Amino acid sequence: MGISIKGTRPPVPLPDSKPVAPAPAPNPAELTRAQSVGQIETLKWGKAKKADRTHDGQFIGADGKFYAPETPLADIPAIEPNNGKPAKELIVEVNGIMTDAALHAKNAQVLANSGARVIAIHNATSGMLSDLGQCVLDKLDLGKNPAVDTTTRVLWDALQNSQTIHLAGHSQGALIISRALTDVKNRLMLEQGLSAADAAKVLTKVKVETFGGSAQTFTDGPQYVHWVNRWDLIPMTTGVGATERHPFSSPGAGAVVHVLDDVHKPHDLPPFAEGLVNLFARTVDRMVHGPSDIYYTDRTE
Amino acid sequence: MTRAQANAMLKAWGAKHGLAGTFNANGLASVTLGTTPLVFEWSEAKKAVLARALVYRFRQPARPAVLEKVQAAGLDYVSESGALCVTKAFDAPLEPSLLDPQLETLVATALGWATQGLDRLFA
Repeated sequence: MGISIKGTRPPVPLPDSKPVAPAPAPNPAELTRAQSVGQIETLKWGKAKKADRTHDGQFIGADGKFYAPETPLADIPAIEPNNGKPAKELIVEVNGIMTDAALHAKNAQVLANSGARVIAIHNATSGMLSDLGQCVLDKLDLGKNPAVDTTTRVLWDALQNSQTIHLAGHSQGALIISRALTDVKNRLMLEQGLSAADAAKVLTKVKVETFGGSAQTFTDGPQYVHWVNRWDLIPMTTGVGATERHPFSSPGAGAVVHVLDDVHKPHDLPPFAEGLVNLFARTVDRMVHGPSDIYYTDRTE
Repeated sequence: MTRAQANAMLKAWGAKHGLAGTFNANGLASVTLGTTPLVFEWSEAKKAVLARALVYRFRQPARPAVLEKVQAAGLDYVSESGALCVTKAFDAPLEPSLLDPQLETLVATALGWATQGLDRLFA
């Protein structure tokens, strides 16, 4: 015979009933996980370059998934070390030119393996000069640059919440970070009424690492560490390696510069059929400039 | 300069750099030099191409006092987008080889303003 309980009194467990285990509490981290907006595909260079444009300024998180630029960092599963090394901190990384998303994710994993959780901002720029964009451009678009805009937002959100943030940029990624820092500093001055000195104080919460960076000017405030290979023409002619020759450039007040001395034999090069430019870029990477071959690996030493 | 001449100038300059494209229906075309967005705008009133290199983009409408200060310093404000730019007008067609150094100077000036000029203005 069944037992029926009526009225408003709460049900009383029968003496011989076993306590029912409560349902497991949902993991708050899982509840806030963002929906990815795409998955990295391994494509040949020509196709990858075109497909990449749709992901310009998006995040790459764990498992090769893309996340929309407005996604809060806390909602993105980070790329964790897969070599058993403990992750000390979160790094937000920006790639350089000629790096499709698949290669970017590989490089980000190498950075993670130096002992960090990594969320990557994808810079789909395939050169220093982009295509003449004109399809949907109107006056509201003036001044958009997806990878810079995402980096700027990440920085701004962290500083508004008084959080520290660690950014890393390889090659043109350093230029993007430099531009984003400048943009945040200018926002503090132009829109929040801070003086240049006070804006620099706010930026002391930012840590920046550049690797073979192609930027020469870094605004004062953040804690900078620059990694420069003396055989790498990019930082030596357009980046921190050339700042002594350019009176108006600066690696940032208090910057630490690590000078490497690495030249490797080229290996695992792509076939000539995938384009001469790609072959050249990968050869330079393997020998003196690549994040996986030179810079991120050296960071662990 | 006519719009057709302006289109031809932009097309020739783009072709030199392996880029395709001309002005769209809004009379605009854009390119990114390094990290600096550069916008070409056809001005029917001035019969000229306005090349604008971005210094800063306001997220909120700029305060009048700030606007007064930056405009007095020679910067250009595009209210629709909140873009603060360095602008140069080209009222006669130029060969790509002559346009190149002028655009490079424009971008370098915009970068100089973004990185150091505004610091000095708001020190």
